[in-house]
Amino acid sequence: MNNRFTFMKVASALALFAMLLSACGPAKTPASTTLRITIDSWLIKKWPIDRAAQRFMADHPEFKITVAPNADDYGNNWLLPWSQGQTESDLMCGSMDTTISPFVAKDLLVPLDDMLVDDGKINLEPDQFVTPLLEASKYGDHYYAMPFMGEVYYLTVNTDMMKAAGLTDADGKPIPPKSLNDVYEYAKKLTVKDATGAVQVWGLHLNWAWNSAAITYMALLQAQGGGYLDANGAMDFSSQAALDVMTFARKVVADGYASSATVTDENADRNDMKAGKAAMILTFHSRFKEAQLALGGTDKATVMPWPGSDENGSNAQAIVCVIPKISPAIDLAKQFIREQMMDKDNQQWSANQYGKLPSLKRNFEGLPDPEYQMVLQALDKSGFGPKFVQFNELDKLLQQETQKYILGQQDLNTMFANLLAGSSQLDLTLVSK
Amino acid sequence: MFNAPHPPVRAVSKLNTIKERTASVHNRRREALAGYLLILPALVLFIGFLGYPLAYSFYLSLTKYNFVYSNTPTWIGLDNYIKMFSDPQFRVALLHTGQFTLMFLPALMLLGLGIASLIQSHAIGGNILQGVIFLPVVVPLSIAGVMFIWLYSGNFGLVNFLLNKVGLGYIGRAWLNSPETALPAIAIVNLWKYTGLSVVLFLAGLLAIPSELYEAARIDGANAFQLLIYITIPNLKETFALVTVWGLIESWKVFALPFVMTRGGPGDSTQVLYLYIYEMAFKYYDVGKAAAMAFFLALIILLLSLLTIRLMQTESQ
Repeated sequence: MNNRFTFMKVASALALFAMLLSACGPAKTPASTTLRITIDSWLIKKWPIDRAAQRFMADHPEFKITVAPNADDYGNNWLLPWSQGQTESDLMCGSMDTTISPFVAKDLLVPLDDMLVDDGKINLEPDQFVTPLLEASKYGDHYYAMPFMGEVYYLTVNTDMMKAAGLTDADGKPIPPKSLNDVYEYAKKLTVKDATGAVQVWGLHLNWAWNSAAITYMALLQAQGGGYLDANGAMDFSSQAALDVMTFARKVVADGYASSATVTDENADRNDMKAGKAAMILTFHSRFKEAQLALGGTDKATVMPWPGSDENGSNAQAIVCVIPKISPAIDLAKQFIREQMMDKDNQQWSANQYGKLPSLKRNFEGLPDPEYQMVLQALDKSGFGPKFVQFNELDKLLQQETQKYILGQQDLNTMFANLLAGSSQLDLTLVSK
Repeated sequence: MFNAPHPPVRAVSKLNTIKERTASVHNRRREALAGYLLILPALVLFIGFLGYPLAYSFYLSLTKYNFVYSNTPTWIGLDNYIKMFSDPQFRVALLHTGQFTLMFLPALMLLGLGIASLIQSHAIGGNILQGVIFLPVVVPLSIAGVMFIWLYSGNFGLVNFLLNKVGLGYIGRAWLNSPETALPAIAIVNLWKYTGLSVVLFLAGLLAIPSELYEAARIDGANAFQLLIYITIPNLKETFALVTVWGLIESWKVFALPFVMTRGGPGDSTQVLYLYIYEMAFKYYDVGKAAAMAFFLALIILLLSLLTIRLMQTESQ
């Protein structure tokens, strides 16, 4: 009896152990006829990826497509597994553009140069693309990502408020400001305060959140002077343009015509716009679509250029696809990109529904909203995030120092001195393979 | 008649005893073996998911290693530990974490003991109330963070609305947007979340104090304050130690709330150590520095906890 009981105990322990071991080990690699797409969670709603997958499978019944959300926007959750030769994604899509730098540096991505051709069916030559959206994915002489969607920093405005403040032309269209002084005066006219002096409507929002401070700074500089890099290729923290834009940014907040709420709430600007509590917001242009929906009509909100951005451009962001080198379905992924991600119908769906921009110039044709042609002109001249080795550290430094300045915790000279000192400690060489 | 039963009986019983002892030892060994085999899966899990990662992390903390831009770790000894103190961001994060602890821990003790006393004395009561007080403990921190972002909002927040209603609208503001109030605002959320647990711990401690002590003290003429100082607090030493150690760990490890609510802003006013370690590892990929800071943080928590326990033990003696 004792022997049998002991035997049972030992057998149970070994069985448990065997179960544990059986759970270990790498996942099985699927056949190359299956394409596993992972996409940023916010994109699943804003780009017709499920429809694209269904269409592809209908056209090619021999293939199977699965779609799943990325665990981390920016795809960082794939850095470790891909480094270890494991993947559950054959095609990753997200708002990565310059954040694919670590993946490029570790040689984890398939170069996509061979896709940028005209194969007789689909023309994907580089000149077909909106230039900054494609160039954002170029490292050295190679392209490592394929843009399928784009955004650009532009002013979204509440048309009714502009009209009420006398800032529209004879046709009722908002008159774009021509200088920073104009923006200041606009913000002053558009700000509404109640009897106690509390602001009910902010004239302006500039976004200084953790994920937007650097973009806002680059967009302002690009519009002001045509670039945000200095002569040495580092971020410009010393030019007159830099001084001017930041002086303006602080003054408009200090004088009570612009909100600083985005310092800790990255969605404060779009939420205020949708709630009718902000007249102008400088952010990704697609917010105009959200505002139109929330405010009740296509005539309720529109975009207009920030001073200088129609001539010098703004800051662009590309939403891209990348293919890991360890994927067993590289060719299938490329085929899906060509046939579905570059498809006019799919790209225009996203534009019409959510204001997102197509990545191919020809896919702008036929878009009903007049805003897109305006934005396209600025987009083509825009810059994109620099591909510094330590851009993330620079980004954090910019966030902290600009926030302190905007909130009045330090003066202009101290802010720029800290930025120069901090950035001089960083590796600002360009990422290469 | 020759009666010599004893030697044979003794021999037989001795033989049986030896056999029994041998069998007993054998059985004990088999029992032990079975026991080890039963804990083997847990041991493997412990070594695989805790022991080995800890050891490897410690090794990385002694190397210069950027996960993206370095090929292999380079041994540098204690350099990461020494140089971290000359990193201004590390110093700021360390300071803010200490400030957070000073805001959170005493308030946790006071609120926990205060509410537990009120419940124990039936001044407020009911299981429902105890359940309500404990409810925030089960709310995930990230959800609590998002909820309080809205409550603290300058435009839409309930906090400002209520302040307005009671005539204190002039102190309303965007609580998370102000460097002076952002960290205390986060500390309040942490208090909201964890006070329930400290109430439960203190209540258990209070209920364990014999009521005869209070009766005897009252007979001797002790007032409420004297009861608190001479009966309640001394008898809650172990509870204080437990709540202090647990509170220290929670406050030094604060991460989810600043990550969700402010991302270290405005400026760097809510940049805490754990958040900086996270950024160092997963944003900047400098795993060597991140590991060193993580072990330093663990050391702080360990030392403070040991100090607390030691102080409580010394007072008891």
